[in-house]
Amino acid sequence: MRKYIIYICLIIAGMCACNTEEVDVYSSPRYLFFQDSLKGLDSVKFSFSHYPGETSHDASFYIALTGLPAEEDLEYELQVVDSLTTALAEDYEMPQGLLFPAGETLSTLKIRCNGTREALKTQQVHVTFKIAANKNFSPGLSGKQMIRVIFNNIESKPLWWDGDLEKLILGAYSPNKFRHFIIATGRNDLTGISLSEARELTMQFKVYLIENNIMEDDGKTPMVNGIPVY
Amino acid sequence: MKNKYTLFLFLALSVFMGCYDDKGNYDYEKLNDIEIEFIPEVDAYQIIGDEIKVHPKFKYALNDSSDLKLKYEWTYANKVISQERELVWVLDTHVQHKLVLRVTNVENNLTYIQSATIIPTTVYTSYDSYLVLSEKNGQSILSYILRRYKEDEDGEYIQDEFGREILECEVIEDIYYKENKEALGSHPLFLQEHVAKVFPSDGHVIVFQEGGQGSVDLDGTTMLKDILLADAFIGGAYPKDFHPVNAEMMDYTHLIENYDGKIYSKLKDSYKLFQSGYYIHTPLFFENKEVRASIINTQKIQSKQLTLLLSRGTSENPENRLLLVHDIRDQFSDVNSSGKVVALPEPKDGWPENFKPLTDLGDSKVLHIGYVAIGWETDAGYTMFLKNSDGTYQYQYFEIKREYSGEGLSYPQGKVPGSDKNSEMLFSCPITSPIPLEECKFCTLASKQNKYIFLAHGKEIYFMDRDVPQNGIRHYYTCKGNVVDMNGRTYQGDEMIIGLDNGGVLLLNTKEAKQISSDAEKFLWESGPEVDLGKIVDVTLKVGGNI
Repeated sequence: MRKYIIYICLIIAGMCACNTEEVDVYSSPRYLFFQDSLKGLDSVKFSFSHYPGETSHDASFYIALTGLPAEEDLEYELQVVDSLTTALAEDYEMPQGLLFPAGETLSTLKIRCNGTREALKTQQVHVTFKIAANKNFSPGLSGKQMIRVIFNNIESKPLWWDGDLEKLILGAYSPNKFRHFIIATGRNDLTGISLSEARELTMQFKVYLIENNIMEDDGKTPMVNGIPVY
Repeated sequence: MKNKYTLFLFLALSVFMGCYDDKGNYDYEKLNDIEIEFIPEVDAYQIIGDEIKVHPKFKYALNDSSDLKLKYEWTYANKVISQERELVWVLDTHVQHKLVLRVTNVENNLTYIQSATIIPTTVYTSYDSYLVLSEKNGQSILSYILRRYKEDEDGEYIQDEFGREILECEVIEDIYYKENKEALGSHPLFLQEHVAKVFPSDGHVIVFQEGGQGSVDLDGTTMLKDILLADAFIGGAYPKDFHPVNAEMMDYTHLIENYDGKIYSKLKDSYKLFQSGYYIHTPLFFENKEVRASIINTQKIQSKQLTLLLSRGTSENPENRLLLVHDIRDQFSDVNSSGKVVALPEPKDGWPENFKPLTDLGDSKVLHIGYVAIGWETDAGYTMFLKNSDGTYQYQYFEIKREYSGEGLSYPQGKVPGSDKNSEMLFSCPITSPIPLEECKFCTLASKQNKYIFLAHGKEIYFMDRDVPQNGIRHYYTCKGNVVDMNGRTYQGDEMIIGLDNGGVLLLNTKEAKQISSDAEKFLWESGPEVDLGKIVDVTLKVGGNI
């Protein structure tokens, strides 16, 4: 009797092994998160003073997808985190109609900030956005759901204006000098540049200063006198 | 109990053995040790492709080698190159290693060793040899004048009637093709060497040319192409309307003079590299204007720290004065003035009477300015030939001294020709010339030993003594062809190479030139009729070396 029971069990097991099971396609929800955010809050900081002539400036962020890429562009939404925002509504543009592209797992988000408000010349503000859930996406990794744009229009020395660039090439920083440098060269960031490239740009700057007879803030000292590059 | 006795017995035996006095009865044999000496002594620097002959000399301890059976093994870079006693071997590798001879006594298997380090180099590093740039059949040709001396059958140098070893130079034509297996280019212009703090090294040579691949920078040891000059410009491209006519390469600052007088510059990031930094497209500026000038070459062998410019200005704003380009990087004093253009200072005691101020040469036409070595890298002397507006010629000599680690310039004190008093080194005198100086090629010997200036007019070569310029210009030598270029950069200033329009080259003796009269004594070597380098455009001593 015991022998028969074992045979029956083996036969049942064999039949089960032959059973085909339908494999479902992965269909979990799609999540969005901000990539490259080490501290959980992706932030960009800039001053409108480094972009002379610009009244608005875009700050860019990577936004990434967890889940299957969509077959068509899908809309996603952001919302302002009021408790983490000091900028006025007029200081930025609320992104509308944001689309995550079909077939992609990474997209770029641009936040447009406005620098026209007079108070920005003396005051730094920030605006924080958070990914909002909608029918297409849910907020992803908990520490990577927010971005912050910190901006002002305060004249300030760029971090790269330092070391040999300052000592051998550009000389002492002044807001006026920097503004003219950008006008003359079209460059506002010399991060990582070689000294030869910096020398070329600054010699172009010198030519511009000479041709346009640009003076220091005192109105009588030629600005070119303060440029040490040869 | 039995074990105890056995153990005791072993111990007692070992104690007795320890006390055993070895009376010795060995059969000692005196060794005939060998000391090896290389004859001739093997020079460290050996040219790849040259035959190395070494005759080892053995010194035996017993002064007798009759019974010795020896085995020889020469190795280089751990490879056996000969098993004969005398080595005859062609150096065929660029690897620096030891040449080792192992002599083994076959009977007792004892081995004796001698070695010498060899640093393989090329023929292009030979001392006091020359480069010639020419155009032949529409092509740029770079040739090398290899210095060799005439030997007798025993390999001893033969001397001439003046006790000098007779030169027998070898002209190696088109070394660029020989080493690179491609055509150099066309429309050759001039040569310029540059050095770095690299040892051992033989510098780099830039061949400036308009055609073909353009100007090219060669490794001075192998003459292999390193980079194209265009690649040394920012963005890998020349500035607009770039047609170089001269260049000077200081420790950090490299300058290229364009046909219109614009000076393009490169500031090296490191003087420990041949290639670092880029030439920029914006030319040098001074007093808020583009510099338009001629470079005065510093015919120095190694470190160059300042360069004089003859500023001519533009047609709208002409000028006629000297400027100076600094090349200072002093970490201790925190001075960095590489590439800075400055004006020359006014003398403390004012410009001497009749001396044309260097800061404004007025209407005087500068015919030649030649560099003279006078001391440290921070000091320089210059000869200057002027043609004044009234048609007279004027000779000037001046010295410039720069602070050791600063930009300060002055005219050092010294005795000017014809004076026993110390004064600022600013000298001038009128000169008469048997030839029109404005039609001459000039060559100021930079040496402190042989203070001469040579002038060539057609086939005739003249000279002037810097110590006594008042003695004027005198005839020196008549060449077989018209002189197209002269160069006398040897440290002693004891010889000068001359390129001729017949495609040949001539070496003249310039040692104590004013004291020798016969052509035979002035002559050192001339290429034979079999040598035709075409249209020679530049001849120069290949200096090489390092900073």
